Amino acid sequence: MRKKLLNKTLQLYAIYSILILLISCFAFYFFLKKIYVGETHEALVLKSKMFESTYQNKLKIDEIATWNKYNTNQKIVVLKSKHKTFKEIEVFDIIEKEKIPFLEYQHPILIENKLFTLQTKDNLFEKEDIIKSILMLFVFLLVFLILGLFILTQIISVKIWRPFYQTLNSIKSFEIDKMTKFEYSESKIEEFQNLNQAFENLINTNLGIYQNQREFVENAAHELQTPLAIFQNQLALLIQNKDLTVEQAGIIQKINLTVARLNRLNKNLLFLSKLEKTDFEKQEVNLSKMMQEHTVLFAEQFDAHHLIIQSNLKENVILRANQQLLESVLFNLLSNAVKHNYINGKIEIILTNTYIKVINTSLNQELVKENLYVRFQKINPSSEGNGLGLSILKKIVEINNWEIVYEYENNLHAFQLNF
Amino acid sequence: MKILIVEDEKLLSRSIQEYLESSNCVCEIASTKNDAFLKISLYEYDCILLDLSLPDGHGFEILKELKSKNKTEGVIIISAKENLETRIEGLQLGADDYLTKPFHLSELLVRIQALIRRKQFQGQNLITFNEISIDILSKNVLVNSKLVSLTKKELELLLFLIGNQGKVLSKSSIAEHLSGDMADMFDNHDFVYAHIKNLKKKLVEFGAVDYVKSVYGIGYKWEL
Repeated sequence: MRKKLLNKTLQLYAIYSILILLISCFAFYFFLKKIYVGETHEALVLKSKMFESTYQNKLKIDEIATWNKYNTNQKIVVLKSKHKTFKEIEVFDIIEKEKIPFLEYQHPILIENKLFTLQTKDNLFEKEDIIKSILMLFVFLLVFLILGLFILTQIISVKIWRPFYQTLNSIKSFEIDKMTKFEYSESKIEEFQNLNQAFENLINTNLGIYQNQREFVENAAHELQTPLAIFQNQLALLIQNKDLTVEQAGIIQKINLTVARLNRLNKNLLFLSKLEKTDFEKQEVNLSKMMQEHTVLFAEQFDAHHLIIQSNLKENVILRANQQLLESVLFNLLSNAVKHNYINGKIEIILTNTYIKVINTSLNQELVKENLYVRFQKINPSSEGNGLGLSILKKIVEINNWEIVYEYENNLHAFQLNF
Repeated sequence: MKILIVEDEKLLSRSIQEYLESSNCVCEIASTKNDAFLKISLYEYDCILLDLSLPDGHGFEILKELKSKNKTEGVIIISAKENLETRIEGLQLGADDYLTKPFHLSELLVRIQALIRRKQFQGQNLITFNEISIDILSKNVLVNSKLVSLTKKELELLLFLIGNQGKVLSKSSIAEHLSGDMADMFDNHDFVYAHIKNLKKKLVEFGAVDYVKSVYGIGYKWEL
């Protein structure tokens, strides 16, 4: 699954915070310990100095035992060394029943001219306790930090990224063939403004190219009309020749068919390019009537192919659409059903309030749905089609927000148009 | 019939000229707007075939010129442009008909004939060919003064054939004339044969000579 950019940042922030807090947790511990130990050193030195100044001269050797009995943290013992030393020791605490760390300060003292060692000790803090407290504090901090980061990120995502999502939406809804302009709201953030301008440039450039391309197709098709007219007319003059042989007539007939095919192709190209740029006015159309008229128009083609027609048309189906486009849809549906049929085949035409369905027999296998509406994707290479009929159909369906579905069952091909 | 062809493509205008002149028309060609202006001001024509894109101007200017001079020539626009707006604008400016290139010469000829019939004062509504006579308005066909009942398509076919008498008509041109845009979407023109056969049968039944000749595989010809 893809992460949102912000969550990614949040994740990094969180990892970084945890790391820093962990490191600082230890650093804090050692720092604290250092300060505490230093303070304890000073306190011990001070206590022993107090002893020197207060008791040293008064105390007798006999009283040492008594002193030691009542002073747990300051004892006088046999001389251990002539130097002053600090030592970390652990003492078992009877009350808490555990070992407690102490710092001990040994320094030599003179009592009745005899050297003894004064052992002054003070307890140090317990490691676990302090670490626990620090950790508690830091976990507390961490939770607040991450919570804060999370909330901030949410606010940022909503507020700061808003122009970004606006841009994203307008790009998503942009359709080059609708020739709509790319619209965006001015942003105060430099990056977003740059992004928007970059998109605007990109889109305008592409719109220009697209427009050119489309005009090219249209112009090319238009320019072909005149040469085609000349071609066709010259042929019409040629067939007036009284000395034509049967063989020549055969060739001319083939040329005639080819010119007809060229004409057809060109007309379809023109129509397709027109579909893409024109806004078609809609009106109420009686589809049932139109379908009936078309079946009459097609009667000759049906007869020529000896087709059996079954039509099941609901009466007075009214549709809001452009008349010309709707005619083209019916024309394409019916002509495909004829072209891809075989002699003595069948066509079934169904019209209801919600759909038109044309079902036909054919020698063709099931059609590949992916390529169905691709231009020049001819279903049957030898057929009379030019590979534009279904593209035109699809385009009209798109313009009207209808739906076209192809089905293949029991060797029957069916195109259903849902509106 | 005197016809002016305003068209800058010489090959196209010549082919039209050749076809029409072999059908008892007199044609003149103007390949520019100014040339057309000059010819219109000097001569009277029965019909003007007008291309819209000319090297020195637009065909509509010629329509306006005709209107301003109260000329009554019938005008058929022959244009590569196929869109409703141009068509409507052309007809509003006074053109009588609109043919999109490429068109069949045979189709052009019958359109010219129909236009001239309509334009003629107290229009000539009767077309006769030997023993056959057709009343355009009532759509009655008489053979040897006997009424033959023809279907709409058969009548159209008969008019098309007689209009192009002596010419070989390709099956596709007949098909297109009979079913318009429909026909040129199909290569199968068998229905033309069916109509021809029925028409011939009916006419011969009523004692008409069989004027329709089949020309190899190409098409048909109405001939004495």
